[in-house]
Amino acid sequence: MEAKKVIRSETRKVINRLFPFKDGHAFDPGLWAVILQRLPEGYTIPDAQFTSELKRMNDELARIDKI
Amino acid sequence: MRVKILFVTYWYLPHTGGVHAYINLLKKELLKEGHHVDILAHHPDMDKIYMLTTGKYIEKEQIKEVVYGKVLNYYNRYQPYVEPWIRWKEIERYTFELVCTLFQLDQYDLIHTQDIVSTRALARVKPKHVPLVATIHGLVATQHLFTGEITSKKSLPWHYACLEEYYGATSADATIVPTEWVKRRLSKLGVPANHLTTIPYAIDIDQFKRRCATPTERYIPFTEKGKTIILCPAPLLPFQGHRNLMEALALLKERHQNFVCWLVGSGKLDQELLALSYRFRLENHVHFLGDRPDTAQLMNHSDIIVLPSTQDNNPYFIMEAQVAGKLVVSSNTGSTPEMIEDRITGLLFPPKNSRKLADILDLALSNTIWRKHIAEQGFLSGMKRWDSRTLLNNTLAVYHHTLEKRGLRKEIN
Repeated sequence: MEAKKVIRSETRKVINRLFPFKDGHAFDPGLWAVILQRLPEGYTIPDAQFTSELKRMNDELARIDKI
Repeated sequence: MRVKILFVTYWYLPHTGGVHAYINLLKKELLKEGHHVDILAHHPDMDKIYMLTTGKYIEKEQIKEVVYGKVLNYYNRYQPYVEPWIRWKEIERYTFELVCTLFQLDQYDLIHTQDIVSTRALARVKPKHVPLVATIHGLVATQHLFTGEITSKKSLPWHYACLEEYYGATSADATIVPTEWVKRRLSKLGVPANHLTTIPYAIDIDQFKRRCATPTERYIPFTEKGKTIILCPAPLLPFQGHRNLMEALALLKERHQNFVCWLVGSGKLDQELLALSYRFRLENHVHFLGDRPDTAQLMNHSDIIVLPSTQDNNPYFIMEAQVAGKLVVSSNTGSTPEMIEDRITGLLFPPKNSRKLADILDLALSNTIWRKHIAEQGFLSGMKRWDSRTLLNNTLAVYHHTLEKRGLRKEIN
């Protein structure tokens, strides 16, 4: 049982690395352990290319609104 | 060289659209060559993602409930200006890509995605050594404007839709598009033209001809001998151009009496078009046949196939009409001019121009020999261009090139 707890705790840490921001959402680590093994290194959610473009476009739209 | 390929689409399968027809035809041709093909797609209930070939499925909910909470929290905290529509699309894509990892993607030599969402998703989660080829069948950003999901081009959702289109077309090792028209539109979004290969759709010509020759048990309107049958196989929706067709037929009726027009399809314009047919006194000329599974047989009974749409991308009916040896009269919109050489392999008219359509139909009805000659040229051209072997060979060339670029071709040999 101790060993399982350790694995779960480790899995949770790894899962949290997919989402590089803090929140308190609960995970069921069973299925996620399989997913984590298969994801490429460096994979994160959300897709940084999209979020950075969204930020840039929002700034641009705000600038246009001011004009 | 035998390749193990995974087709992936975010859309649900099976469905009746062109993407499913494309996937089925390409799979059939690849199997004939000894390749292995699996298909991963949404289940029609949209709650599961499943392998069509084995039936193995994963319920999305168990992944989505985590992604949902995490992604919403992210946007609430860091980018609160992002609209719910975008957040929902993001949650759907991340769920899709995480579920896809549960299908052992590393067993494939090549993954071939079929839309912008699955392309971006698979580019992010596939094993690095597996090459990715994408086919982008059409453009969705403008469709969101038509459906009202996006109301302005000066909005974040519009920019998001363009982002999806851009990354959908650039995230794969190679991207296939069905027409030069799609290629030009994607180039306007900044997609490098040399990343895109145009491979037109194809049809299973033998199967289609068998369908044409099979007697139908459904109702076929009685038509006096000598009357020309004009068939319009298109859903009764605003952008399909039926209003223009009705106006054109009203003008045509003043010059000819020896024709009938069969409308095959249904949609929200059915009552309006019915009213128009009475208003223009076309009751004896226009027949509303509704949705029909026997369009091939109806096409076989017809002389002219008319497609008055105001926007279209590689309509299958043009390919079918040409290989059935029928004269195609179509609006020159979207990719249609790539499929029809005006007055050589078919007849084109400007979209929304009822008078021009009437004039062209008048010409076709008045010159039977000329009409049949053009139909024959369309047939000869179509038999080559829309052959499924052409689609297969062109697609395999893209596969080989992609594998070679990654130095994988020798390994597979």
